Amino acid sequence: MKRTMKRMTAWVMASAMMLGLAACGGSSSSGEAQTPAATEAAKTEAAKAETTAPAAEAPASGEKTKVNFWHSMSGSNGELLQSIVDDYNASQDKVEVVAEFQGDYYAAIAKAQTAIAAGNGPDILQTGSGQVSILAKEEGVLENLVPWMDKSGMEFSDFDPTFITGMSLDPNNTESLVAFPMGCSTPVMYCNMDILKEAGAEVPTSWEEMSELSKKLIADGKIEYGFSLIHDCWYFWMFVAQNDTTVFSEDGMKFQCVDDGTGIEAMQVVQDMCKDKVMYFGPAQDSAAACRGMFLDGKCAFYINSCADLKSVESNATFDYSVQYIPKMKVNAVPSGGNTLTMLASAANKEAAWDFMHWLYTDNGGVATFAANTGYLPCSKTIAEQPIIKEKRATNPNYEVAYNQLEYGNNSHMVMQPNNGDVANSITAMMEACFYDFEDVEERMKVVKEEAEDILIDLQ
Amino acid sequence: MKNVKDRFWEKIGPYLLVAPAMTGIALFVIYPIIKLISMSFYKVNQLNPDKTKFVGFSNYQKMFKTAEFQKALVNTGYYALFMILIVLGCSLILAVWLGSKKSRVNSAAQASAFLPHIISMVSVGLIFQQMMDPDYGIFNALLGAMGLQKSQFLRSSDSAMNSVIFTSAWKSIGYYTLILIAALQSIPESIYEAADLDNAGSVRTFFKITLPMISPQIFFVLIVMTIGNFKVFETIRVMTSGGPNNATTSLVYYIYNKVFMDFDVGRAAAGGVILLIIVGIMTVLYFVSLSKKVHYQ
Repeated sequence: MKRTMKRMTAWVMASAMMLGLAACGGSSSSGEAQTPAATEAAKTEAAKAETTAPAAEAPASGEKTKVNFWHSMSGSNGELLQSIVDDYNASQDKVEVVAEFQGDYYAAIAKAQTAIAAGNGPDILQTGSGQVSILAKEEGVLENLVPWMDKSGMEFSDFDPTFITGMSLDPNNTESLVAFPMGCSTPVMYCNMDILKEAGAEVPTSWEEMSELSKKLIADGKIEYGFSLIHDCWYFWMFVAQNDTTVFSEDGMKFQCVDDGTGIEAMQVVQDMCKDKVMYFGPAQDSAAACRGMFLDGKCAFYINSCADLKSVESNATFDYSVQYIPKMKVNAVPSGGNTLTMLASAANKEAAWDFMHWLYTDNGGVATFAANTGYLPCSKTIAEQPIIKEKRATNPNYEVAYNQLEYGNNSHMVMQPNNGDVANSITAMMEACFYDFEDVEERMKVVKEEAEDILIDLQ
Repeated sequence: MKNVKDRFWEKIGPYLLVAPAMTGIALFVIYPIIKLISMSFYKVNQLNPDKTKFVGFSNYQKMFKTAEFQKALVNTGYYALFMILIVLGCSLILAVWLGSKKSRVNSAAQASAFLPHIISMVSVGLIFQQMMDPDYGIFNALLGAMGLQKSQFLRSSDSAMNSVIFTSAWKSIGYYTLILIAALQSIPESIYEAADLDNAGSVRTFFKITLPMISPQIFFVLIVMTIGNFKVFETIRVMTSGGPNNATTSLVYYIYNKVFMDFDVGRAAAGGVILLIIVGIMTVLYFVSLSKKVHYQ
């Protein structure tokens, strides 16, 4: 009897297991079959939506159409974004936007890639301006927003070209725009005005002036370093552009600034500043906190970081400070960065998603509120004209300076090579070797050139 | 005479009974390994799997060519070697010292040596990162106070890896000390008494009795540490992000970087295969070369 029971149990277990396996096999095979089909369906949907838009998506009476919105804002910025979404949801009764935090830009784009391939992507995705190209280079993944803009009377030229190029998109191709700039920033220089006043010095406008002044202040024992610069390859693009040159060749395939020596020259200037303790190059981890700390503790007279850090400086500085233009090398130039908003071509409810996006970019409570409360810059003329931004610019001269510096926006590296993010590792390694270890700039730049060009060929 | 049912059960039964465990292993170990190896030969397109294409050994060729990977290989070997030497050496010394007699001081020292093990690596990494700050860290303040030359610690390629090893070793020593103390305490007292009667010196007793008697545990520690150290990731992720200038990039960090920063899954899979091969070879080598010298009671 016992034996029979044992056998029966074994058979039951075995059968259950086989069933389980069969179920696994079934789901995986259907999953594989679904992917290309889903992509195809999404493409057809996308084509349909552009021509016949709304009718098919009208919600049943009394029911709100749901829009999934994935974002990368955490902490107070996350709360702010959620309150903006809540305001939108409360402002009308047709669309319900569900905002979900998906980790930082890298985590969000990693999740989005998997979800899109599986046909489960969100309707709207916020992602870093450097990550848009990952989705944009794959045809049919992102929705072209121009037809939607035309329908709603939004102008392409309304957006600041600095922020369009900051997303590796071409501002001259007005037929296609797969992302809207959202939280937009450029580097600015935060100055300790008390130190300058005490030394009777003016704000430096060039790196030469910066070096001269910093050396004097260090010699007088007022500071330990001239300025702190955060650990970011953003500044490589900035310094090279400031030497009135471009990193890449016209076709985007050659690391031209090494061939013509202009990039080497620019990096040499920066390395010399590091050697003279004029520049403090921040640590790889927690760089902004470390560099800001140096500035707030009075160990540096200047601090260079994104204008989005203004809020942190404002709330922690115990001295008189101001935001100023980044000093120039040969010319003034600042890159732009931040985050963007995209609609996926596979979005189930495009009409509803567009309604939310349109509201964000035209209402005072949308991106304008987001920018004014975070310190990001307005990305379009319409947003710059919203009451909340006008008030911010009028009452906060530091914000106004950051906004005016946009005249020197320069993202030539993004325009010539949209996939520049792929060479960031090599550039960062070079910056660390040159600014921490003081290795030979020319030699290191040649290594970057070789590695970068290999990577770029590989991308073809 | 056994009936057909019994004979069937005798032959098939054992397979059915191990099947659940084997299914788990097949699904979660064997399948991922096969998938990893196959992916390493493809240029993977995550957004559009249809465009994933076979590239042969191209991922490997390109990977071996880059300074980042070459450094990752050297760094991982360097890290593993020095971690094993330092941690094993220190654990052994501590274990012999703390395990020799039971006193309150020894118990307290034993507990405090073990304490770092219960703190999360992320916290340890962040605390050491701050203490090692070249400008404001306590380490340089102490070095300065003693009139010694200050170090750049994590901010220089020359000292970054040693700083990471120091931090990891500080955290690991207590744990392995505890394992070795337990091993030491399991040695029968009678063996030491016999050695004592034969007038064996303490050095001789250590090398001829203590070490051989705890060799199974040392062997275990060696295997576990080798595999663990070749997979080092979190210390590096928290403290240096592989920098400066790739001076602390490890194999696992390289793989992480390729997947989550560069989104190059094929190249990352190739890195994973290399890690698998290295750890596999190391483990087999240990078993072949050391197992004969391990003394089992």
